[in-house]
Amino acid sequence: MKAIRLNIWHDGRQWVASNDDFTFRGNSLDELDQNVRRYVLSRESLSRGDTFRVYMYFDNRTIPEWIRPYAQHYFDRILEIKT
Amino acid sequence: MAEEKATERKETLSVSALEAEDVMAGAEEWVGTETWLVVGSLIAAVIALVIGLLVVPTSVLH
Amino acid sequence: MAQYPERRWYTGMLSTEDWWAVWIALFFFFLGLLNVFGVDLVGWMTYPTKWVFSPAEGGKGAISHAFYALGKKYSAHAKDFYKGLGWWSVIWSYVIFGIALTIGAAFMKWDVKRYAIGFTIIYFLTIACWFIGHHAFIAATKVNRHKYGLDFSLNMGGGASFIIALIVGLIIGNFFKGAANYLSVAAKPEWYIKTAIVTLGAKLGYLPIKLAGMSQKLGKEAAGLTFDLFVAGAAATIVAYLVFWPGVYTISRKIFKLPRQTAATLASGISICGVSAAVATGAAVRARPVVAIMVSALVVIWAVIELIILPGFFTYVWPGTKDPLVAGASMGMAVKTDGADAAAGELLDEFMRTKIEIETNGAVKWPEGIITASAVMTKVWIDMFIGIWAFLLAVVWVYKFERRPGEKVPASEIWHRFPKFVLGYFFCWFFLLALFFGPGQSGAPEAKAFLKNVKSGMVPVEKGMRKLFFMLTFMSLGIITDFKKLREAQFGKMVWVYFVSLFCFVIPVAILIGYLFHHGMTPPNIAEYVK
Repeated sequence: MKAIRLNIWHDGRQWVASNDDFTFRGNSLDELDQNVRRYVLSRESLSRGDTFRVYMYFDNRTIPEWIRPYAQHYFDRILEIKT
Repeated sequence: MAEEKATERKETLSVSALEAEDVMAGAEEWVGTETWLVVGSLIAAVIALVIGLLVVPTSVLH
Repeated sequence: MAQYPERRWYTGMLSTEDWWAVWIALFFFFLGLLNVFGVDLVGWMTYPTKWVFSPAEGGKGAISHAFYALGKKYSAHAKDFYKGLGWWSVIWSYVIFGIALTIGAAFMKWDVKRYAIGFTIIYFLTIACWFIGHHAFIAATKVNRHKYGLDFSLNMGGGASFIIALIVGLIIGNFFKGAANYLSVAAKPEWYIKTAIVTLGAKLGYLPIKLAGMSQKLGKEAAGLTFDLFVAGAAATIVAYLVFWPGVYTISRKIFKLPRQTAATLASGISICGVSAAVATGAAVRARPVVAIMVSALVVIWAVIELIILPGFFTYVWPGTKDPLVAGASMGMAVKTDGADAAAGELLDEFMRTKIEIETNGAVKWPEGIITASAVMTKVWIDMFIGIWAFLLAVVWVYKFERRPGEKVPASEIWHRFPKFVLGYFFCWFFLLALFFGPGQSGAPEAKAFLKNVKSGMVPVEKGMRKLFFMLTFMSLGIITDFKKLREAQFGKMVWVYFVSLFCFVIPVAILIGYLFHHGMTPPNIAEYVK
């Protein structure tokens, strides 16, 4: 199964998911996912029936430092894109 | 949209740095799933309470 | 841009406070256990005792003895050495704990120099509060004040030191903001309390050993009582969880008309385990981080307000000394941060033990720590369940409410949210229980020598280190609590939802559930065995 890994965070206005190669943005998670999906479907060579996984690991730097002692983790998401 | 280069970002966010007006506003209509969540949780509580009272040796039933 | 590697089960073991609380507490725990092999490396831990400016002839309370190394009293192997330390034990404790904590700070990539300076200031302020709080006029009760040549005293017991530390911290946090900001690098109530909670696990495991030293029957009773607390705490917590959350959620949605994601996050913050629940739930319902951040800002301040109000209320209004463990368990369910809850539990422990001693004129004495343990037990269960609750909520949200195509909720989320310090707490508890029931032969006379060695190593950890870290927690909590934030906060409505939900719903329900599962439980009376 093909996959990419991204860091995800919120910059105060938008959700951002990125790695060294790409940056995706969206006002909502729906919009973000759509952008990721659109990119994956247009660029990756997927055969019919393939599942493409997008792992999104939350970047804890988004959480203010004073909260981190209480909670170390926000969320990790997996987006499955089926052709 | 995919940008080829990652943009710089702030290390942390603070309440004042966030656009938060809409956090309090725009309540959605109460829907059936919420009723199900709330009532389901309460039913589970009653079941847990009864089992707990019967099983836990220090409960008021003992 | 720094890349975050894929999150594994062991991620954070060397970089989070949660894990460092475990490492530091376990290090001193095992250092203490070296006593079994005839080496006492923990007897230097400092502890205060009551003092007066001019002790009566032949009476107790010389200032020169106000701090002593616990090894002086309890060491099986180096009593004479530790006897000589006296006030120097304060410096020994400063240097050794300071080094251990600074190593942790370095691994967590904090500003090490600032941490070391901040810790130094906080440590000595804490020691000063501890010292003042133990002046016999403040701490002695009518039962023991005559030993210090006093006819009157404030009857506050050990609780006074905690209150003084909190007040000093709050003064710094609210009136000397520059200093508070500088000290904030080392003012880490959650870290200190998690370390203290791991040593509280040692205390729970040590209780049967201690009481077996008085009578074998008492030792077994203590083991049974701690296990009962464990079971009752679990049951009470599950029920409380399942009642609190829908209650506060409905109040937020129906009465205060908040949107769904905000209501869910707030409901968890108010009703479950505060900041960690707010963050976990905010994440579970896929809210923007700002929602959890706003709720968290409220939680930490309200928790300190509860810490100020509830121990006194439970001790002097209801349920008082009739049901000390109902009070403790309710505290754990009502106070929403680990730091404030454990601190409130410890304060309650001091208040209740002092009160029962006064009420019965010394005929009833409870061993310290059991009431604290009852408050921490429910909290620990709550902390453990949040991962599961947040996972279930995420499943409901992602698959039912939002139905985002293709999104999956990884089950590893449960582990990422698991409070790791709890592992240290249970480890210490069960390890000592195993020693008690194994080589300790449940306190049988043949195993006395072995148990004495364990005691020699454990008392400094479960008593000296635990109390010191509690004191550091009170001081740090004060320093980082700025009440002005509550006024400045632009989320007035949320402040009210919090107030109404907490005082009209969460606290009464916590007391009711605490009562249903803990009514009638009392710590054992050890008056005939202690002076």
